[in-house]
Amino acid sequence: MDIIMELSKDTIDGLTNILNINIVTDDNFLQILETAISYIHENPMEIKCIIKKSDSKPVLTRKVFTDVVCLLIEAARHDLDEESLRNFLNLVYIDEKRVTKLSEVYINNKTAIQSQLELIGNNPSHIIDIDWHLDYCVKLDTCNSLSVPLYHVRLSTKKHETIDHVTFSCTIQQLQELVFKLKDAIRYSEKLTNV
Amino acid sequence: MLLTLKPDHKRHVLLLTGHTPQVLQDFCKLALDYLQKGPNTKLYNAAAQKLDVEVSVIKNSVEGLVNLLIESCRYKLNSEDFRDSIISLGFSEQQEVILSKLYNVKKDEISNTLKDIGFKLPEYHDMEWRFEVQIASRALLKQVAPLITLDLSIKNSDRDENIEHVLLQTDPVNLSHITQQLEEALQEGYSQHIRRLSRTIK
Repeated sequence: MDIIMELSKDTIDGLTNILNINIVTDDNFLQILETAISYIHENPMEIKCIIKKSDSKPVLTRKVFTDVVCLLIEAARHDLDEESLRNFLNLVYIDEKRVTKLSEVYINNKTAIQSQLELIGNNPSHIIDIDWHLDYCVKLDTCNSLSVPLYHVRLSTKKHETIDHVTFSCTIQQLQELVFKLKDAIRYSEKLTNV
Repeated sequence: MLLTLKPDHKRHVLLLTGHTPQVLQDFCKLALDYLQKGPNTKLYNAAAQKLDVEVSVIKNSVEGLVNLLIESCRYKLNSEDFRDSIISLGFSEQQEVILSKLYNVKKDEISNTLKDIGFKLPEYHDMEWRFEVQIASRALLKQVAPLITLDLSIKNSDRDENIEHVLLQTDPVNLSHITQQLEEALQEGYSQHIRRLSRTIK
């Protein structure tokens, strides 16, 4: 295999168990996959996963779950295609049905996992939304009559799951200037993506 | 309209009525100096010695005059209203000419400053952008993520040139959305609704 995924021996051993029909039942296997995917998508704080073993040996629920998540993330990180993942899994354990199922789940969610991975890093806060309101200034304590429209803009930003806001006010001319600049940026990015 | 002054202020302004046109002219110069540079005790001391009065008298006269100009600008007095107000305060016609000249010269500047004074919300100052494509990161080895990095300069207060730089990033889809929203905002600023409102208020 040309791409070496950074998985520990422990994780690979875990995967061997998960892929083994004698250790994890079919039902549980599907449940593990489902939970792992929803964990990556929604990033819940608590993992609610109950896995019953087919035999009486206790299994570490979190361990099983973590191994699958590690596999999916590592594969997406290396941008593996379905074939490469199958090849890799076949080295770990041979059960055609489970390998196929796991590869299928992976390929269906690869883009979504990668978009989550894209967000990891120390990039500046990402603007996700904007709110604005327009005020009309009528009077100041220092100036008896004044008629100036004034905008208040609030940008919603997101960094590491934390939503924050950046607020500023601007006159109609300043807003015009800002819009010109933003449209310039849009034009440029459209030009680039069309090339 | 005639300007109505508060009793204390009126008392200070009336200190000026007893002076000759030449001395009043000098007070106008002191007021101009106050408007540009703030109070100057040294000049007031010299004037007090010259006129043989207390420094506080000079200080009150100058401040009274400055306040008279500010109040007149605040109520947007035109030249006629200002003249009538001055005459009704008890100034002679000759003195009125000097004060009217001062008012007409400084009125626009003072009015603009008055509009700009007071508390300020963080205000847009400038924005610079950079188009980037993120091609790899530790978490995702191969990727093509177009990003637009914005450096938003926000002015926090007028007094100290305190400009805050906020570094933000966004993707083309969000950038379009933000721009579209702001364009709508801009159109609202030029709409009939706001024009009607401004006519009603004026």
